[in-house]
Amino acid sequence: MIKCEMCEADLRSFDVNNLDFENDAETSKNFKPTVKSDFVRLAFRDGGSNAFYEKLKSAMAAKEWEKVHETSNIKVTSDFDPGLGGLVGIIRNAEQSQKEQKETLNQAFKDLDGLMANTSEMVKLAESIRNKLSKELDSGTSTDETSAFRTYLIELGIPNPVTKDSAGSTYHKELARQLAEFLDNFLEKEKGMMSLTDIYCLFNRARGVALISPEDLYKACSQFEHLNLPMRLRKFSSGLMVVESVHHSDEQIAQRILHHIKTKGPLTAIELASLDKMSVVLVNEQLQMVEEKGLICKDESVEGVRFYDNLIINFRWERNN
Amino acid sequence: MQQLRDQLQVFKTNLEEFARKYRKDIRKNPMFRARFQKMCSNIGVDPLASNKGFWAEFLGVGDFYYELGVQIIEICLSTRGRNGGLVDLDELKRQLVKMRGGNNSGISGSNSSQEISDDDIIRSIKTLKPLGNGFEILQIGDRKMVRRKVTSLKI
Repeated sequence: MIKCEMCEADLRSFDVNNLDFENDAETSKNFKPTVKSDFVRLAFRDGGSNAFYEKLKSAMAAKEWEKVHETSNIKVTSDFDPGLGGLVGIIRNAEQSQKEQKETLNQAFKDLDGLMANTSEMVKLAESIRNKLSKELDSGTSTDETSAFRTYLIELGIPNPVTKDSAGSTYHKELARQLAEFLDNFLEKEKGMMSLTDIYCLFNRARGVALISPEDLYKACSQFEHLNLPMRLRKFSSGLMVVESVHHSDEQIAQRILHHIKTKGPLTAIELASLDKMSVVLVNEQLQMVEEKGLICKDESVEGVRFYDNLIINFRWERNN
Repeated sequence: MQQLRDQLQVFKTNLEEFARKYRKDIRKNPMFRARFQKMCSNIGVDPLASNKGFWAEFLGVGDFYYELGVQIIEICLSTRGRNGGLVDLDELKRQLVKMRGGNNSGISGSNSSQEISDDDIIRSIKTLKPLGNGFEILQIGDRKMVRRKVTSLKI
């Protein structure tokens, strides 16, 4: 197309119908000097000329090219204006940033509300499905659907009471395996028993990121038996929970404590703890357990509680006749 | 069931959007956190229940509270000799700030400009319940104390 169809003007160097209207500078640049004109001709083949004219009018009225200079002038002068600088300026900045913060916070709250409305819908739906599936869930049989559903519940954070069913979600099973590996090193050092609190701290510290929740830890530990891993979660009567290695029996612990008492004389819980370098809480539990077995005796006095070898049970009456 | 799956997908996208904008704010702003938690409990959702949950994954709420939990346990343990297992909440908060502020290479490289509110501490402690370690909050007069349960045997 060498000539414009509407006005027969020469179109040698470029296609006016594909003009980028927003960019006047561009146009004049592309215009080859051979044509020698001071104007740009715009042809509106598909209409839109009115809109363009409006925009052009407002752009001309706005006089952006003059405005730039004005604002930069103001900036320069404000630095020299003592009223805006100094304390007043600082205070004003602080107020400004506070206002901005509050606004973003309000916006955040609004978004949060929207999110929560969404969430509550989800929860209602999940609850209704849970009620329908409740028979299946409780019986412990795990079809693909039920275990997928359990995963969803966990993902949403809906409290799912740990029922007696042994089929936990796959996530917890994985976690249990990781824990078992991790704890293998420690359980030997700690004489086969570690409190859940200690494990929680150690494991999370080792992880660094993507920490696990206490609830995850508890659920994972409950899976140990089911997965045939060599450790068990055990709950003492005082409520303390520990993970103990299967290889370690109560018998061993009892023997060890008895040995200490026999060689070093009667001991308090604290002394025993420092001997074995274990936590006092654990030692207390073990002492209680050994006492129930009848191998040691407890003496409660104002000085504290001391444990003695149980001589009564092994005592034999010797008749002195 | 399929309906649940579809809705879950929609929900996930919404949450991602939200997280993109506000993930940093959750870490930095305790008021925001408190409100978020309150809304969750209104609905019956516990965002801290599991690390695999959406909340933890997208918003990082989990990491924040679990790390706080670990630090609380450590502080209680270390001060036990001094106070016999009963820690004043303000004292605990002070120690926490010291621990988090001065230590830039914490568990997750947390930055030092984080505020911890009382609500955060109380929630962390509540989350620690499944561990069976006997952390509880007592109200003595007008001070709140954090108590670590010592077993029944008298020492």
